[in-house]
Amino acid sequence: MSGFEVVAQQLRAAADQIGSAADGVRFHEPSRSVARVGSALRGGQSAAAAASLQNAWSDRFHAWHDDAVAQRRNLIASADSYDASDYQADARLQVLARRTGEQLW
Amino acid sequence: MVSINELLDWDPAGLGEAADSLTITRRALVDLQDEIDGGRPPSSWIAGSASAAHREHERLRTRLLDLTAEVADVAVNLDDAQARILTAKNALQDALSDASIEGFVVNRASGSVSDPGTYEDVVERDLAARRLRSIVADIDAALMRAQEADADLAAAMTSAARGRTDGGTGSLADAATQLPESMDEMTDAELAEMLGDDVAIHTITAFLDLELELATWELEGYAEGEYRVAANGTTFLRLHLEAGLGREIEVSGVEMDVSGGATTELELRFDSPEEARAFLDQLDDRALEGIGMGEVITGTVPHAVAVNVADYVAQQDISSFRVGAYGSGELEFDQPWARGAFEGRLDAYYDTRGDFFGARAEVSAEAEMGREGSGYSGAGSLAGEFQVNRDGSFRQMTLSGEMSASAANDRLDLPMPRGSSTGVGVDVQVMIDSRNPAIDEITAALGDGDMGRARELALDNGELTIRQTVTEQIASQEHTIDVGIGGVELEMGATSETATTVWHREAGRSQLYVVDVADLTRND
Repeated sequence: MSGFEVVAQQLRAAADQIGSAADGVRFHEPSRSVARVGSALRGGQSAAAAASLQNAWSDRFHAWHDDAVAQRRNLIASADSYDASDYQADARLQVLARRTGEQLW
Repeated sequence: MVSINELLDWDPAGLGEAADSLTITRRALVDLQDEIDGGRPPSSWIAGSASAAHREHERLRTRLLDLTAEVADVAVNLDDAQARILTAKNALQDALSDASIEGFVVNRASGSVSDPGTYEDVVERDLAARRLRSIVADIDAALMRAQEADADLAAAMTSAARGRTDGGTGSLADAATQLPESMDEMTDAELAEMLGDDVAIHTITAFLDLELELATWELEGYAEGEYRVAANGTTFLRLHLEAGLGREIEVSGVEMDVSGGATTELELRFDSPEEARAFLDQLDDRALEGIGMGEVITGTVPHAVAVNVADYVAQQDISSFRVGAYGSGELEFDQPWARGAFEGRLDAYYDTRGDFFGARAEVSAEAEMGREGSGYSGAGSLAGEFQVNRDGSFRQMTLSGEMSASAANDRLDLPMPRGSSTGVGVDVQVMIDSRNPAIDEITAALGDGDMGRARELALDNGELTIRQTVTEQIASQEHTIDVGIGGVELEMGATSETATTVWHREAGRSQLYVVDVADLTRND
């Protein structure tokens, strides 16, 4: 297997993993868990706070899921378009980074 | 302020259900660590859109850390609020019941309490007025406690809703470590107070064990002294004495060692190690106080010393004084299908100080199944102690023993290295007292003789303390002496044990707190 095929395969594996994380986050979205607080502490300060937390979590967990799915799509697209010239560019940049001691990520 | 009607309507169990559900979510999010690590774009990919993809992955990672921290924070605060509101609600119900017994009228909307009674006797009137003030104070305190718990929970949820809970930059497991609002600012001294005097930090034990052979019987004597410093600095001095008879018997071809006798145990409690040392420093002087030539000539020195020591001890805070009986047995067996040894002991006692009865059973077993050298072997130990009040009501139950690391991980989310065993210096203790939220279910299971269920409920709801300890053998000696009528085997020694890490969970809660003992202010 050539060098650029290895990188493309690594990109697809990373896409799979981030896709699994997206599924996990959507499946365990916790906003319904706090709905119970409203009826348990009727009239209390927590009942109002629980309602806004329910909305905030629903929005934030769904946004995380959607962004992770978009990241998965981008990684797959990058793997599909990754070719020998990209591989050579990566190799040159890595040599350069090692020489200058620059931290890439 | 929360009204009486509102607090009576509140349902702490509902908060517990929400906490349990969020705890499951927290675990599921922490378990995504592998997917997050595996989802990182390869480091060999630099050109093109790599830079944007790396940045986006880091953004997703830190956002998930924050979400996990929010879920964990709200879960522990729900758990905390459940326990506090349940306590407040119980206290309110007790106060309302007291008011009803006294004939007072409570307005459940406004909280006012009035006494419709008329009194001709001034003393009776004053007494009723005092009782009314006391009930009003109890009601106010219960409502205030519930209000504070509600406010802390609301603060935690608002903070999560506004995205202010910080998940840090480490792992998802790190982000999930959160303290409830009420404990967030806890100082080391307050932490030590939470552990209280139940959790031993330093223990020094010295013992003297002797056995004298008399024909086919053995006369046993055992003395043990213990110096124990608890997490909050409370110091205990305990003296345990026992004497009994034992012999070897044969039942159905199996040889057994059995024995029985009487025990006495005295425990003194001091507020600090310094106080305990002062007690010991003065013991010499106090023991010999008033003893002169007269006592030497009449030969009453031992009696005078005993009276002096008893007087001096009686002036201290005696936390327990127990008298009891014990029976023990050892059994070794070697059969074609299995071989091994059982050792057990049962102690029954009456605590004259606390006016309660107790029984303690200790069993350890080692066995190998199948053919010799089969490798199928097991070892374990468990001790259980029950205490009942004089009227027969339940007082306390304690289970202690060893737990494997994987069981601790699975049941308690305890971060112990897999493969290690609590047998090597890790003790697990579960304590249930009559105020435990699951006490009715536990006593019902005990009443049905369903020990398995009682143990499960105790493990889930009891006050749990796990101590990782370092034990040092200070001295150990064995002697055999011929005293004419038989040989005496004498063994003496001392050990010191220091707890290094303590995991503690309050009764009825699910959050386990990790305390590094070195951080405690009182650990000398």
